[in-house]
Amino acid sequence: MTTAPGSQVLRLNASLYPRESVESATNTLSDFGTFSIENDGDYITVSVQAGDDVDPVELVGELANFALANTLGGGSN
Amino acid sequence: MTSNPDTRASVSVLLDENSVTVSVPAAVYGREAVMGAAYVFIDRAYVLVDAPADGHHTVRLRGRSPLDSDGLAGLGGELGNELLAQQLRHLVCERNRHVLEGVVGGAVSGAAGPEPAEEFDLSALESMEFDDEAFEDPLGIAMSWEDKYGNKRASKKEAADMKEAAESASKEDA
Repeated sequence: MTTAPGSQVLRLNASLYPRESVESATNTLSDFGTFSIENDGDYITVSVQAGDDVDPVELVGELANFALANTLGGGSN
Repeated sequence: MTSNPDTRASVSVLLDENSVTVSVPAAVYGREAVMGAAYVFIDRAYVLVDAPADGHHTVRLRGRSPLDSDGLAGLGGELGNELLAQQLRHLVCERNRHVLEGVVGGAVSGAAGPEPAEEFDLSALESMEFDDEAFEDPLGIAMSWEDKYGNKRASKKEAADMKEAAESASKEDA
């Protein structure tokens, strides 16, 4: 999988993180970057392009936390 | 002492990544316990849970703020304790599920109030015709006492006789 320069990739296990939870997390953080979600076998791959003045590593971490929270909370909000 | 590698947990600290990764056997710690324990740390770390194919769950905690080796190892230790607590909570909930369901079900049904009373079918009354004519009363149920048995009053002579008999009876008793 090729990624744009400066982008980060987050791989989430599809058996643990429902896609709906991941999509909801990207919607929540859409003001801080752009996200591209793809199914990659047993994993959901999210390409993260951080916005200006946003730490891409921090954004990926927040995305993982939001996906986890959505998974435990039902995944829709 | 020998140990089965499949049931062994491990903690690895990566100082340059400011992270600690805890690997626990899936046979010991269930998915719910792992996810629940990891969630506790999202205020202090960036959390990523994975399930590699070797029957283990891994939880990677990357500190929000820079941590030294001891700090990262401590974070991993806290995760281990939380895993144990979450797994125990899960087991207790499963074991007492029928009790919890009974208590909650009783509370909900009590709050809903009593069941509505069975309604009588009064539709037959709508087809009945009511008028001023009297019902047929072959047994005389609707008749008054006077109409049925007459207004029998004791005559004055009978009353005097009864009074005299009562007085004589009281004198004999005395």
